[in-house]
Amino acid sequence: MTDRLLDRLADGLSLALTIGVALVAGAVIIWLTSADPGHALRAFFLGPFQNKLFFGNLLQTAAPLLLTGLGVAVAFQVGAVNLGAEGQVYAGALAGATLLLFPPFVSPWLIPVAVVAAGAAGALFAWLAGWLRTRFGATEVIGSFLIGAALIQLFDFFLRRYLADPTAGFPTSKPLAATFRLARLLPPSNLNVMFAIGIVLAVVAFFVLYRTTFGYRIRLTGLSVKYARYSGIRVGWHFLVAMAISGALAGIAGVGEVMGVQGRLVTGLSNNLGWNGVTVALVARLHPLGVIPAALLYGYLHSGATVAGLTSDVSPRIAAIIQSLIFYLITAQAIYVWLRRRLGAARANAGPGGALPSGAAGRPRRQGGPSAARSDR
Amino acid sequence: MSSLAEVFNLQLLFDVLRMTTPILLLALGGMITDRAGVLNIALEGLLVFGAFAAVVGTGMTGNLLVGVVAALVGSGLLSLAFAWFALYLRGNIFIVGLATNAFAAAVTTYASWLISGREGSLSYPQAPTIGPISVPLVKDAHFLSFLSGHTVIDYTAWALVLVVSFVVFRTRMGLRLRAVGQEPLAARAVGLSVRRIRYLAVLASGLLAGLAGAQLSLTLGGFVQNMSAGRGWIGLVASIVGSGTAFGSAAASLLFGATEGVANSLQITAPKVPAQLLFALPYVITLAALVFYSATRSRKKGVLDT
Repeated sequence: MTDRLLDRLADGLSLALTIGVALVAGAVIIWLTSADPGHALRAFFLGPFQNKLFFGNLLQTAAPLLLTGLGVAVAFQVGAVNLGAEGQVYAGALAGATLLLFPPFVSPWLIPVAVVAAGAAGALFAWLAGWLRTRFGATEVIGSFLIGAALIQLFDFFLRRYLADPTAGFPTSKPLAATFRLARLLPPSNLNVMFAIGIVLAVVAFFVLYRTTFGYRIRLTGLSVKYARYSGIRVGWHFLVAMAISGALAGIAGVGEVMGVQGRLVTGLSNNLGWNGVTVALVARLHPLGVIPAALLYGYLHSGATVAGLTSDVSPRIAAIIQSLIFYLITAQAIYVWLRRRLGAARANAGPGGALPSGAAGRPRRQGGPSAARSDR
Repeated sequence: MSSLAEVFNLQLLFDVLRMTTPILLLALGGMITDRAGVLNIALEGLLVFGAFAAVVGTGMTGNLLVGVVAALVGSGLLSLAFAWFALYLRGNIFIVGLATNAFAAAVTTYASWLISGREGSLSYPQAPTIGPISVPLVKDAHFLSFLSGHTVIDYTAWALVLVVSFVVFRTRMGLRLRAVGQEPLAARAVGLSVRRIRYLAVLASGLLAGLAGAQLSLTLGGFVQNMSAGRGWIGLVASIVGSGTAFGSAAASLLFGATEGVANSLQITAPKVPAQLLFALPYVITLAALVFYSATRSRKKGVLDT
């Protein structure tokens, strides 16, 4: 076998090991905390395939994660960290839903307009975080988080102040007109066209990133800013465009949840879509097509936990614990290097992460973080 | 009338100090790890874990000291896990930090559900809360009275500013810490264990974040999901804006504490201002401070260069 093939094999095995360890740990927690572990474990692992409702919801849960995961991956590819996807989901939901709640005319043609509005809103705030980096050197790692956190509060503000339905007991808008609801593809589950859109966008993102000059420039900027600049690539511009695309995808995920699932604006609408998008992107190894199985895995975890929560004495929160364990292990170089050595003596470099901006640990120079601005010290 | 305004102002100053404490402790932790060359995104999770452990420890025993120790042990262990995943398994430090935040949020929610049957909130009705200490002389000294009546953790936090500053800049340990952060290869060449010193730095930040968590939950008398309200990130920014010194971090923490203090008092004095806008305020001010700090640093290279 060639070295390249062994590299890939080691990467695949470390991915499988990561997911396996997290699932086993989750199973152990269920086994320890459930009064009827056999039943709970069966519900968790097999539940999603048990009937049309649960399977449809598995696919549906994956749909917004396809979009946020793709968005975060695009940002990573240019060397940016978009930790504001959570807030961008809300920005998109608010922009799109406001249009649909107060439509100038009622026609299904407003749906694509709402999607564009949602994408623009998400793009604006991701771009802002990127611009604060390229213009002032304020790291987008923290900037995007702070903007996102403020957006979540602003979403709640607009919802309560201007859009709230006074007859409801909790902050929620009036439902959207039936015209603006996305059709269900697999009733009674919530599966809708957003899933197909997510798959199509993943394929489009693959072609753009890996088959066009524009995508090549984005990836080169992510791999080495210096090299890209000396090659004549406008690194700042590509950085900002990739951030904007990242935010647009998150925003579209937000309006998709409104039109396809909730049918209205509610607080807590996103429920961690942005953060889970980060892990989906990492499980996908930042590859647009890898986002598809990664999002499906997360959809599976979520619907498994939901079934277990409904039919046994386990909290659906178990999914969040398993996800955080995957999160912990997903970039571990040591696992990859160890597996690569076992597979055969060769240089064990590259490994998981690719264009991921690195922190300072184990590096001769501080990189990527806010301290990068302090190279004069 | 003037006395009323005075009382309000003193109350505001009192609140500012109170809100500063957790941010200050986190900023000191962030500063120590930053000096060791580790960007500590995990502060938020360490804070949440400490706050939860403090409530469980105090609730189970009825003893505040046990709660504080539980917070220190809990956050300390979680910080060691963070360091282990990043330094031993060589995970990406940002990602492992985010994982720590996600893990702390998930585990505390799950554990509170196991203990009380309610997701994301936990309180023991019989458990004591940390009470105020009134400082003699100061409490009667009219306009200095806002300095009295804080908890033991509040006063400890300010004492720790001096301790951390002394240790980092005036001791051999501190010199090694800074060497590891600035020139890890040189530090290794003279025989320092870069990894061991980074472990210790992360542990120190974990203990400080645990204390911050204890302050949050033991004054409130319970744990609520999202009670951290982004303070880990705000503390991290305070350590950056404080340009890597303890006193700078303290000054930045006071600014962010003041933001939260003002937002809090506006909720009472100006009930017409929507609460959500006040919740968003600390993030906006923190972002503004970060941008201002970054913009004023002179840089020759392009900002995307690392």
